[in-house]
Amino acid sequence: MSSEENLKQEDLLKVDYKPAAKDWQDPTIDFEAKRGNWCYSGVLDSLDYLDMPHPEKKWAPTDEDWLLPENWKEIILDGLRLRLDRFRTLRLFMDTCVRCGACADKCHFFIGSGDAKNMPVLRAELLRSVYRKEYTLAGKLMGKMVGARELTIPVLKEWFYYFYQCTECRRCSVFCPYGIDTAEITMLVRELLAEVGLSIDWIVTPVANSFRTGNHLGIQPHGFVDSMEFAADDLKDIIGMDVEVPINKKGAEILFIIPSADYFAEPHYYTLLGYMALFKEIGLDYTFSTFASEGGNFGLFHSHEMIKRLNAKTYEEAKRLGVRYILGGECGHMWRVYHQYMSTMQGEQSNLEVPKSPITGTVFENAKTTKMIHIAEFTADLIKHGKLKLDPSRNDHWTPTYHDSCNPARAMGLLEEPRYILQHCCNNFVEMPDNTIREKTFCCGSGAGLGTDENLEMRLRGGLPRGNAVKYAQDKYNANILLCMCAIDKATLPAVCDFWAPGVQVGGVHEMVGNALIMTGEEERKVDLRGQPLSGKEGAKDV
Amino acid sequence: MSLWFSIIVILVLIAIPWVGAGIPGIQTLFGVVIPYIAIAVFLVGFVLKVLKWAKSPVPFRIPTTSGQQKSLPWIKSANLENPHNLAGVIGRMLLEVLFFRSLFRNTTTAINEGDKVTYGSTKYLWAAGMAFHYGFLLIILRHFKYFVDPTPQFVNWLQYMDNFFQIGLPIIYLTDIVFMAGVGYLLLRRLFDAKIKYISLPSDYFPLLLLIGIGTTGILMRYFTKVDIVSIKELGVGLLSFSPVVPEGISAVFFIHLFLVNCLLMYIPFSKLMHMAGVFMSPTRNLVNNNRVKRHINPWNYDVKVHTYEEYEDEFRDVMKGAGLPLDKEPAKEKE
Amino acid sequence: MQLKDLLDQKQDAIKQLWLDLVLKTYPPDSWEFFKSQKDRFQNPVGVTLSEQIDSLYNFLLKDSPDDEISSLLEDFIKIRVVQDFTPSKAIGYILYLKQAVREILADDLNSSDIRKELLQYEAGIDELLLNTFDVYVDLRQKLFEIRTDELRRRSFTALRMMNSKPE
Repeated sequence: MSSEENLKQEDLLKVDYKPAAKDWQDPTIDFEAKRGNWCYSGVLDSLDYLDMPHPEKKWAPTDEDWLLPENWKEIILDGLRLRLDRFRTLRLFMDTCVRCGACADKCHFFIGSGDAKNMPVLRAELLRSVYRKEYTLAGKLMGKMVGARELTIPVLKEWFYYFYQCTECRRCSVFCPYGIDTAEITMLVRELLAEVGLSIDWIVTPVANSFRTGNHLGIQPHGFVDSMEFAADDLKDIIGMDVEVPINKKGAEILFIIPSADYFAEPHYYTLLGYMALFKEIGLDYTFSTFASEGGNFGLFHSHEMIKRLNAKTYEEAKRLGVRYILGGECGHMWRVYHQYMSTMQGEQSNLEVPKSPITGTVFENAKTTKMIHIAEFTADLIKHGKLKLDPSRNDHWTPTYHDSCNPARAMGLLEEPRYILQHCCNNFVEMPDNTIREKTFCCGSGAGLGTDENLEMRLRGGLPRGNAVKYAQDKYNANILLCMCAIDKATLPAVCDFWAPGVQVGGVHEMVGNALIMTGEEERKVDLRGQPLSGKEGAKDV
Repeated sequence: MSLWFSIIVILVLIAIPWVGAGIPGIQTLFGVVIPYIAIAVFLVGFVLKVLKWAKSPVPFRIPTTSGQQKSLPWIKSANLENPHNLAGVIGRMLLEVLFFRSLFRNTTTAINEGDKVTYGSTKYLWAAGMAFHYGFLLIILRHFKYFVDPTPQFVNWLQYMDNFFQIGLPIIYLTDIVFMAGVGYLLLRRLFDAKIKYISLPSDYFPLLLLIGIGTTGILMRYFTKVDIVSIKELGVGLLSFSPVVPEGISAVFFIHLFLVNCLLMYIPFSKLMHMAGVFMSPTRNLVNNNRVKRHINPWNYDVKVHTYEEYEDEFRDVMKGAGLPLDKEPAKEKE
Repeated sequence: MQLKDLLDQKQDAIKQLWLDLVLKTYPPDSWEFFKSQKDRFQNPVGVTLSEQIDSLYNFLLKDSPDDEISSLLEDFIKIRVVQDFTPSKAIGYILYLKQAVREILADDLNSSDIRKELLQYEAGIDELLLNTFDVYVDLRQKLFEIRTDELRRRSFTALRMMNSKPE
């Protein structure tokens, strides 16, 4: 064979790269080929426990038949009408989008995948097209020409696929000229899907567990006590002092609520040790609760109704224990609920008092109604008043950078408090680039109930923008720990970092506080809360 | 296809008055009847739409916070990005409505030599949006000279500013250039930015083409085909004072211009152009971020089934006892 | 003139075409975003790809030692591993370089010396593809490790409590 011929065969080398240039109104999805992108369906026992509708038997997204009720379309359309009448947000967001595209490249899933339907505008358009068909004159008359689509089973499946690819992080909403909030649309579509029995297990089982045992892992009261005692023992090994952990203590001044992962998972656990050390040092009269042993509200990822069902425990327990007010730990969506939904849902709490720091006397006017403050607000106030003795050099083995968790950033505006704390507890604090932090922070890619195993590829893809900024801080400043204030972040950012910025650990703000805190009567610290030797004490024995 | 569909519709809309205006006696239709209908449809449709939005309550207070909250007195809060009082909301809305604050957020990062990160802005969309909207606003205001006699003083003043550079004859209005450039950019990016093209519907191209049609006919009348301004003003003043007359000698171009404007007016209430009202009502922008200070009331805050502590203790009483936890009710030992 | 010189001279055009070919493995609406957005924080996919194309092209041109290659490949393959591609599609983009070179150098391929050199050069590309396969498989393996690590972290306290109670 001459090389002349050889070259003529060049066409054979051409790999077929023709894109599937379908227009977006085609809803078909090949679930089998898209493994790694979707989550398993809800377990029937969990749905039963919650009195939620579900099919006769468990279905899988790869099944042809999703076992929908016969009148599924009626249920969805009635549900949509009801929600249009109940939520001005929904009605406005259906009507006012001009498809300017400002949001298009703001979604971490779009940035990581290039999948057009991950552009917030199109994600919303999946619902908007059905809205047009059913509720607008133009849509009824002109159909596809005005972007109206019939609600069909493929459309429903497409909803399931894409609305469980949104982490409700609200980054797009920051850039939208009309404030259109895709999280709101995602929440409402998920509600509709749940009404015809479509849900994912990493949401409904944690919800059922939280409903029954108080926490999403289903840990029963004695398990909770064991974990806390175990943590107290660990802390004792580090500081050389006994630590008391009050649980279900009536008459305590403060009820302290944390996400349950704090006492079960790593690296959350070190933050828990940080809280315990802090409270011991300032002698806080507080109590944990086994009944309200989960701050995280998985109901937020399911429906407004479910938020309220789970959230009711907080005030009920505060009232039962007779505390004055509530303090909340580091968590993201937990704070979305506590800040934006709780008082509306549960009403005024006349039995509680406006939070007042027993140490500094500061009255937290910003929580006058809910009577619940964030631990970062509490600790920043302590530091400001000079009530804590801190030795930031104990964190010298860390070069921390701070990831603003989506909900505290974009649903509260809790931006400076954690930074203030970190600047007093660490010598080496560095920031990631501006357009990846604060209100422009990139999501971990696993929020809103997507932090599970079967969709790991999708999560890592969604975590790319965050991981990439971490990598930058690692290369540039030798950052070696990514701090955050969200239980989902702490659970899922380690995977993101292992993959995109190997070598960077993940931790919590109060872990750094616990490390730096000089406690009255403590032994000389040789290790940090992780049991790692402190800088300059590398020869010390690991405990 | 979306684009072609819109182009055809526009051409039809242009053809109607072009042909129609030539038919004797029918000028009243284009000069009086349709304008009144258009204004009526616009006003009624606009109000009904806003009422429809307003009818749906705002059950939760969910502002998007784009800056520091107000918490501790010594932490500086960003009242315009994350309002904690009414003044903050008003400021935020003004920035949003007058200066398109959110669109202005687009930034881009570049890493220059020496690994220094710098932030530039990609504000083309913002700039084009501002150019178009302000150009349009000024042009509309300028048009008051055709409806009000004598011409209001502010119009003269606007015209003076608009002619500031004294270029061309008749002197070119800056707003005409700015408006057409803005709309032109908005259309071009829909055609040439792949991702924007992908999301564009006929209802995105149509209003842009309609505006271009209106702008082009307006420009034709001012700079190229001379029209009888006195007659047009007579018509305009007549319309506004509800004593309409259709003077002789008004050219077809004018009727096309007027008809397209009427189409735009009638189209607004049924389309995304309602964003002009929607922007004021967006609950993620127009609410105070004071949820923990003041309770927001949800009118349909229904009761839900909850799991009470009593039920919880009933289920776990024995293990709680075993773990040494205090109980509200002691276990009934004798029953074991 | 030798192939090497041609590859050097026309490198911008070849790299550009290679980049375009790779980008076309993505949906059409995102090519342009990946291509035109130069901000590495807003567009890590596109920026990493451009950097990789640069470094791989130089690698092949300079006959650099093999041990550098995995680290060069890793950044972009990482992205392909978690994107929606079959394994062959995920790594096949390396072969598009052949197509790019042949298209851009079409006029120069009349000389049989150059053609001979081209075959050699293409053998280098094949070698690179095999390296890519190694990196790809390593990264898939990494995903499994991440999965198990995640499970372990999730039950951190339980595992430690089980292992540490002598009483």
